Amino acid sequence: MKSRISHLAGWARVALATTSVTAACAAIAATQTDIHRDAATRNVGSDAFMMQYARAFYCNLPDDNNAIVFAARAWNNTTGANNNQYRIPLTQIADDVWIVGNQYVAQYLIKTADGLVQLDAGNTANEVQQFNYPALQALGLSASFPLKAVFLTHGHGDHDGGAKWLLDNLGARSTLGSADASGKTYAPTQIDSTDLSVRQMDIGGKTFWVLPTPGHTPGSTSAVFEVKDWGKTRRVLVNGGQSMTNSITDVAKYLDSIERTYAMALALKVDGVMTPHVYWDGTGSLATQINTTGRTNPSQNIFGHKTVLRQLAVARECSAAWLTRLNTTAVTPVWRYNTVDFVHASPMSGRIAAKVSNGWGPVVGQPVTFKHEASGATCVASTDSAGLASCNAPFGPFAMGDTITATYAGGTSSDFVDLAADSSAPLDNGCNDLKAAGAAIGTRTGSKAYVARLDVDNNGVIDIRDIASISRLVQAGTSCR
Amino acid sequence: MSSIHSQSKFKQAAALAIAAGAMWTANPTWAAPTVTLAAPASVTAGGVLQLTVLASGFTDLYAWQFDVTYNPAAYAGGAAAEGAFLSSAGSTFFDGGAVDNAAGTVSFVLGTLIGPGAGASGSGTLALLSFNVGTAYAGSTSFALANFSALDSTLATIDVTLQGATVAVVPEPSMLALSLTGLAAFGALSSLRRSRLRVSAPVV
Repeated sequence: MKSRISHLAGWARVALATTSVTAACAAIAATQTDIHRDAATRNVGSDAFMMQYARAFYCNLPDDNNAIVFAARAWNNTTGANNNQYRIPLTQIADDVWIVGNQYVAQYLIKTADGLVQLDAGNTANEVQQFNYPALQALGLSASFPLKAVFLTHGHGDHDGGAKWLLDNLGARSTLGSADASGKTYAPTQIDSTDLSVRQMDIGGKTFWVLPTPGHTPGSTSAVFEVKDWGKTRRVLVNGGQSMTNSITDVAKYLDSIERTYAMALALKVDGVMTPHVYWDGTGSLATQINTTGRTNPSQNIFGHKTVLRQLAVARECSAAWLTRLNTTAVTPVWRYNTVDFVHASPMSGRIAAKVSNGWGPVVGQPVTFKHEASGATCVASTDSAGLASCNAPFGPFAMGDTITATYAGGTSSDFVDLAADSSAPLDNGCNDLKAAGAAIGTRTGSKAYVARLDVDNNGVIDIRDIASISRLVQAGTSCR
Repeated sequence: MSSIHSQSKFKQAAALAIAAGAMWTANPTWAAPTVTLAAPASVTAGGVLQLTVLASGFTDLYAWQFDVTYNPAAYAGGAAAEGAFLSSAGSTFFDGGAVDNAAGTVSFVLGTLIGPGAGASGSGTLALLSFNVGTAYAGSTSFALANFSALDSTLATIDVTLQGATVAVVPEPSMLALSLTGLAAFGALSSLRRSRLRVSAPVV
């Protein structure tokens, strides 16, 4: 009996060992698509909203989760007759921008000094007549304040279905990527889809930076334009087309388009998003929020520059995951979204330190350039094993309030593209961080109020030990009242 | 001899124990630091109660944090002000925490010294908390310290003994007078009715 048990135990050990080896092999044999799907998740960071929307929808195909897109199509209420809850009423989302449509696809109405410009043209003539026309009237549409133009993200029917009606009844001509223009009855002004560069265009008296982004359709076009939000000028991105096809060629173009959109958003310092398919990145839920509790400051669509870039990095990895699923021989490096964060009590005279990290952990052995913006003085330091770079003497001392910028220039290898990142902050005596830590005390990882860089001991909660750690770095005698 | 030797050792041990006890009593720094909620034995309904958070027997106190729990049926407010103990060792940062009058908590009241110096030693006041006493409550309720943390200047934890407080809420004097007047009137009326009953009752 004993021998039999021993024998079984031996088999169990073999089985366990086999399982371990299998698991190890599985880890080694992760496919390109697995690697990119994982990268998309890692690039989200701790942003729960982005995880719920942009990560889920951009990655729906590689995740085999396209049921969520099919479900969203049921929200495409074009008549208001049934499922009225899916209609988005005319809702102001910036000082000069309104949204109208439904929770599947919406249109944006921009007010200019002498008229209106519309983004996308709805599903049908009936829909724009029933909903967009009264909305435009509510915004002052008249002979002297006309709808001057319509910018179309692409030529699919849920985006240009009302373009002919808007032309025939309001005299508003649409602008469309040339590769989607064939056969259109509304004679659009065409954007050359073969020129993949960013350029400025006047559309209805409004300046747009347009960027052909083929992939969803051949003529998909993305754009950036300026809006006013609580009096401040903000730049927002309208993404030319979200979902991918089963064509390797088209998905490769889509991937390239997202990479170029990232570059445009980075160069133009875009800090907001106005997406036609509002379920895709959660902007539909934000419209509902505005109608329930009002506009925040900055408004809900002004995500912030870094969040816009992070979202595009997520989208890029989702696209790479789908491309490498369709074409199993394709190999593309992983885009890693990096952050540079001044650590606690920095920048402070005598303590200028920043941490570089990403979803994989600290970025080690990389240069960080600290710049004193007023004088242009710089100091370069390398990140240590914790991702921490610090520059003190002979860099500085500088006056309180002076802006210090920390920049990680990024890098490229065969496996990774590390995206550049930076952060700016005014030189302080440490009191700002002390007060911020006091305000965040008791918050834990995952909470919106939790501030990772103030969690000095990295135990997942801001507590008195973190506050005392920051406090000990502040110069004795400093008053933080 | 052996027995004598044992007795001698016992006496020595006893003497040492007594001496140690005496030293423990004589030198308060040997005692575990204590944080006490000091409050009056009673407070008038509708008035203001001030709780004093007293620290005693500390060595090198650099930072502290606590919550206070109270009966929200009897008290509201809980505004906290910094005491003088920590600032005796240098400049400080203080946060009065968050008051939740529904739950009956003042959370994350904290203080820390600023800079790399040594902490405060001895005894003194960490914080003062003010509560508005409700008008409708009568009876005794307790205040307790919770989530207490104390750190020395090396950021090591200091073990602390905590003591709460119990305070009786007594009616306002005017309410008391009114109650006594009402009670007296009721007594007089009852007495009168009893005497009338005695007079008018038929004799059978």
